[in-house]
Amino acid sequence: MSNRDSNYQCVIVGSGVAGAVVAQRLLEADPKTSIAVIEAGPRVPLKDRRRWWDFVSTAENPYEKYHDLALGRENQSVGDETWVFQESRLMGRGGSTVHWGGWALRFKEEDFQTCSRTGRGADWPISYDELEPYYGLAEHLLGVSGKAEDSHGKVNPRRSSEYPLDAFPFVVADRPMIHAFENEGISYGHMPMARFRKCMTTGTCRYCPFGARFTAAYMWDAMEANPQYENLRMFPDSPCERLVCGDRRSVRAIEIRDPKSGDISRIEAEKFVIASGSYESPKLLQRSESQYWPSGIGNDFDLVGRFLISHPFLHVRAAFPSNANRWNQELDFPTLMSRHYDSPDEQPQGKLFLFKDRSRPSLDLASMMINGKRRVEINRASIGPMEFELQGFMEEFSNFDNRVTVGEGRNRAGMPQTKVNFSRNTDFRDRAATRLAIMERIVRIMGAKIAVSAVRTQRGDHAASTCRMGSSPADSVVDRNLQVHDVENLWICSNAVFPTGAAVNPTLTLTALATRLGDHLNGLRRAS
Amino acid sequence: MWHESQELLEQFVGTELQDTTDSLGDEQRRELWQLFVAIHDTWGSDAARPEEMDSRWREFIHEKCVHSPSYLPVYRLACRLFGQLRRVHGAQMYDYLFFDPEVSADPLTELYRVKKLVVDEFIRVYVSSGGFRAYGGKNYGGFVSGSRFRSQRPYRTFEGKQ
Ligand SMILES: Cc1cc2nc3c(=O)[nH]c(=O)nc-3n(C[C@H](O)[C@H](O)[C@H](O)COP(=O)(O)OP(=O)(O)OC[C@H]3O[C@@H](n4cnc5c(N)ncnc54)[C@H](O)[C@@H]3O)c2cc1C
Ligand code: SF4
Repeated sequence: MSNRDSNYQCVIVGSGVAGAVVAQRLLEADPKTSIAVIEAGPRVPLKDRRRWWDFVSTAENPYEKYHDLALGRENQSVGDETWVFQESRLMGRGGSTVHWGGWALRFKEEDFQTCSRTGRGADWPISYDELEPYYGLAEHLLGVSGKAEDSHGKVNPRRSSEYPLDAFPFVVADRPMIHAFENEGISYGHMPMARFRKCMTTGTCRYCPFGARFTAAYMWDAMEANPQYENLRMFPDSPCERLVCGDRRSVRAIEIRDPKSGDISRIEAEKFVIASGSYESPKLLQRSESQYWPSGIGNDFDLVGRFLISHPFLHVRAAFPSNANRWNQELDFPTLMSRHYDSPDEQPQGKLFLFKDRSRPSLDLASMMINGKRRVEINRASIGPMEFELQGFMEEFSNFDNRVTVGEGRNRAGMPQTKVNFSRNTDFRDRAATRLAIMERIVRIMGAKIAVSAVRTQRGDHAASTCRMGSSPADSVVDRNLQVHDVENLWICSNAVFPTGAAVNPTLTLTALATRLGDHLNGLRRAS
Repeated sequence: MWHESQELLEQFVGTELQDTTDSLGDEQRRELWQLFVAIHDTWGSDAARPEEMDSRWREFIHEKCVHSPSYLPVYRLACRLFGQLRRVHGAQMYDYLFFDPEVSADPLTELYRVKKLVVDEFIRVYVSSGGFRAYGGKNYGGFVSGSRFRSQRPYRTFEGKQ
């Protein structure tokens, strides 16, 4: 066992957006703060022209080696419902925002009171109002393009600041769906997207050649290049194995396991922020057993890793008989969305957030050519049937039995694999059917023929709630300031702390929470 | 380049993967450009001319040759193979490369690998460099269409009443 470097003021485990925002906030307040950032994965080459050309010319996944392997080769899904890990997070400097879509939506007021309003799930110990100013800061940080008013002229949720950038106009192929929304009196709006001003609408957003889509890796680039931040250290390829307690109320050090040799080294610090995502954050607590915490840190009530949720993904695929104007999506992200059914009235059934598929209508011209199709055939296909999808995320209520634990074996980054036990709530199918019925109705109004209407296999992209926030250790893992109950120098910053997942993507809310945590830690420092 | 193409490339060029100088001869460069133009002649239209794509194509070739794993040996082999094929197929060589199922029949042949790593990749680069325009639309994955803040929208929009 060796001791790396020295004693830091703060250790942050995980270099995703959560860790990056906390670090940035601490360094802005005091540039000399000493911070060790512990990242299990490697540095991921970004804005690299060769990699971009490889992506354009082969269409192959540029991040394969930073992802979990397919089930059967890595991780275990043991519940009634298969849980898909592959591509559901990215292990590398910058974390999952290296490959995220950049949809950046605020939760609504009622999302913070799910249990009071529905009798299911949990309430947040903080309100929308408390988070509202941080949402504004988060939108500026992520460079969100949006329009506050929906098609009915309403601004919901309430906001005290404008979007930093104007929304992307709708693509022309959004038109039939917009007409259907209008016919039915369904409000719709522009999808808020994290895209900086320099976006050149290149449409290869999985690998952006210009750095126009936010990723936390760019925050680290800026922080690591800042000569004032001389005490910031990044440790890539360094999976944290466990936290070591000094006593029941404090953590003293973390242990890092060298993925190649298995050697363990230690880093000591005053404060510890676990920003390791919704799988690893609870697993780290579970693994950190000691005489002070025999079942793992913060786990006396057996809650760590429980209440796992992610959004059920609903889709209705349909086609028009022809595409006379040769419409296609033309962008690699959706421009049209509706939060009409993301409303208090829908909460008991599970709120529904609707959007038009980012990849349809489309014609893969290159593949047709590669497969030997002649010009005339491609021409015919380009005006032939036009396929599109109306898609939706549905809010799901957490369930005590759905759980993340440490799995068998280690993954490619050297961390223990993950076991997920996930089953659907008994009324899920009925509730999902009512959501699909809404979607089918919209598609029918468009005059298109439905081919598929279903819930997709559950993916973990928006995994959340595994270290949920609450007021007491009997019902939660962290308090309203994200501090692990009864441990004075340990905080969790991750979607894992969300008591509920609402119906929209999580990362803007996470960024707001991370900003708030940074301010809280700065306040503690000033107070001491 | 992480799955099939990577594997193919590794099997194919073996130890030469570390060769990272962009030393394609003029003749070889011309041969490869001819392939790009043939793709245009086969599938393109005047909506986008290959001359307008020339700088993009050159950057693509440069990046593929100077960075590891280098495509230089693949491109050299492709040029050699095209020479041989031209002797057999004459003016029909590109037709053979683009449409004859025999080309993709046996993964163990050099021809298969050249089709995958050179012809197919050139097709993707061609389409994303503007070739898509022959089939409608203003923007396509990989095409640098421009800023949304320009008065000329970089993609076909529906401004509606919103
Ligand atoms: C395909 C996809 C698309 C998405 N698109 C959107 C979107 O459009 N909008 C949206 O809001 N959200 C989206 N998300 C979700 C979004 O990516 C996450 O909410 C967000 O990135 C989570 O950030 P994080 O910092 O908490 O965790 P992560 O970004 O996952 O970072 C955690 C980091 O911690 C490291 N780590 C974990 N354990 C350890 C350990 N023991 N030791 C050291 N390091 C460790 C990991 O390697 C990782 O780098 C998407 C997710 C996926 C998978
Ligand atoms: S469209 Fe996507 S890939 Fe293109 S510049 Fe914008 S963010 Fe980058």
